[in-house]
Amino acid sequence: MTAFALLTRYELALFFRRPSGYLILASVMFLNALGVLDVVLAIRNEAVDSPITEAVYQTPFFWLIVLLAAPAITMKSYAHEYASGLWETLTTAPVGSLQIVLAKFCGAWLFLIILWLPFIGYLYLLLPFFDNPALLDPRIVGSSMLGLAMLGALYVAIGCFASSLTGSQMLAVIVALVLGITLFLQSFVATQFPESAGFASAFFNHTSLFLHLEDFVRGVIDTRHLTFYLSLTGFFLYLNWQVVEMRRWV
Amino acid sequence: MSLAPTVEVENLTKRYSRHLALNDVSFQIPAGEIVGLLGPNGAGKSTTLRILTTFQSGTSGTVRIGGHDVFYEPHQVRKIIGYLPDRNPLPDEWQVEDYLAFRAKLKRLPANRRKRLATILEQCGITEIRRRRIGKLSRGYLQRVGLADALIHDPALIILDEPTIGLDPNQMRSLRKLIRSFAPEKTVLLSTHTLSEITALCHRVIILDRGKILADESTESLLRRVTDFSEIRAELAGPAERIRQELQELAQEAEVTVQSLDEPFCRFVVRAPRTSDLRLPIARLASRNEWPLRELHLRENSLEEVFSRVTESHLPQ
Repeated sequence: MTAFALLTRYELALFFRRPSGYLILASVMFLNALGVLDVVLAIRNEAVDSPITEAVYQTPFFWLIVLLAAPAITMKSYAHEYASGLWETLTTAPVGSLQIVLAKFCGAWLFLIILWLPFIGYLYLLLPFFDNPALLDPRIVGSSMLGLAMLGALYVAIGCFASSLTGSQMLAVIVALVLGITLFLQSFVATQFPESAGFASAFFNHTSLFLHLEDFVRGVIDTRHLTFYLSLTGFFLYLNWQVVEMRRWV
Repeated sequence: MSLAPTVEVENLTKRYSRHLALNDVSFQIPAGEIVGLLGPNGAGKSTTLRILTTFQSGTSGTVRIGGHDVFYEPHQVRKIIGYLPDRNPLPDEWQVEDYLAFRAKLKRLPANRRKRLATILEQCGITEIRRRRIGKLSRGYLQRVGLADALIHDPALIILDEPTIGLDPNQMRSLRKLIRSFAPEKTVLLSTHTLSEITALCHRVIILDRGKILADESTESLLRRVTDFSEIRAELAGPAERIRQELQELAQEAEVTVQSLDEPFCRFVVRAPRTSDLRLPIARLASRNEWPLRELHLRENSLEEVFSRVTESHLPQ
């Protein structure tokens, strides 16, 4: 097993060895259940012809999970290790800093994906309320999960970057939330510009999280959206790596 | 495992913003030696060790371990060092055995991992607690788990920052025995506050103070230099001036001072060359004159005294 794979497994296993991991899991399941309830209440009196995943994606609880889960997962990634001194034993072992950065990211990302798995079960719980099995096509579920994984990767990368900046977990959460919420809120800005607004409209539309996720929850996998998420994730991981490298110089 | 590496430090300087932690430090450690880094808090011991282990980089200067530059070839250096940091950080969530197995894999220990793990658990005296959670261990056990982590991959250079902190006297003895057994196959560099640790373990001692090297010599020669005088304290009851004169006669070159204690006792401090142990003559003198003798004590040179002597001897420089 390579050092990267070993560290990823170690990072992932840590979530299941800490009570906080189970607390996050329970909280996400609870918010998902509230999202399902919200959808059930919303469709009581109207006929729906859009995919169930799209209905869930429009609930505030879905976005609460998106915004809160990643900072909660990643707050300890670096901050805890800096504060406890574990960073010293990790970085003096024969492992490269890039391997550490990628392993910490992958461990947290895999845990986030695990957090979203019960979501598939919830979708099938909703099916009887829709009277149309076609609205929960497995391909739509698959593309939605892929979209969630991509969005999750971006938020986990932001969280890891925030955690790498400080030895305080609280500060790491605040920085991750500020960055994550800013990215989320700027998606609303896109709706304020008419199509004719030129560059501003194009910019805000291109960086809107809603628009990039929308195709996924409708069952469309577009490489433009994949490129958007992957490039931003790569950007934050690169910053994360640079911060880690810089710590040797302090 | 490869042969013991040499450590070469040349003009190493480390500056933290306005604070100069290391100031043009140079020393060499030949392969197979056990060297002690001695100094008070803030002397630069941990900073030196952190640079040697690639955790930090120096502001200027070079450090080579086994011929590898710690700045340009950190990966090669990390393969041959075993490091116990001063805070001995360990993850509370893991069982001892699981954590050490993970560290062994991370440090690329070859196929005989299980056998090596059993050996190191035995060597460090933690076999019986191998299934316990790290977070539940006492400080002594934690220190031994940290040491096992440093040694698990059979490193050629062992760097230990305050290794005996938190150990009871028996554990301390067994750890010292273990460290002594490493030479000459391995090179050992350890930092400590305790002079007795240096005398018990090290072939050579480097004294650091405020980022500068004050002394770099064999432990034997340093001790000879700083312990050339001994101090004997005797608490006696009797005519103080006469006792002082009699004590002075025991050794002409001795310096005798008197301090009044609770009547009728006085404390006589006799500072004499180490070659003459005056305890027995003083006891005989008291007995002959029927002066009640309450205490007779040969004072060991403390770390503070070693420091003050070494610092004094470096003042002209």
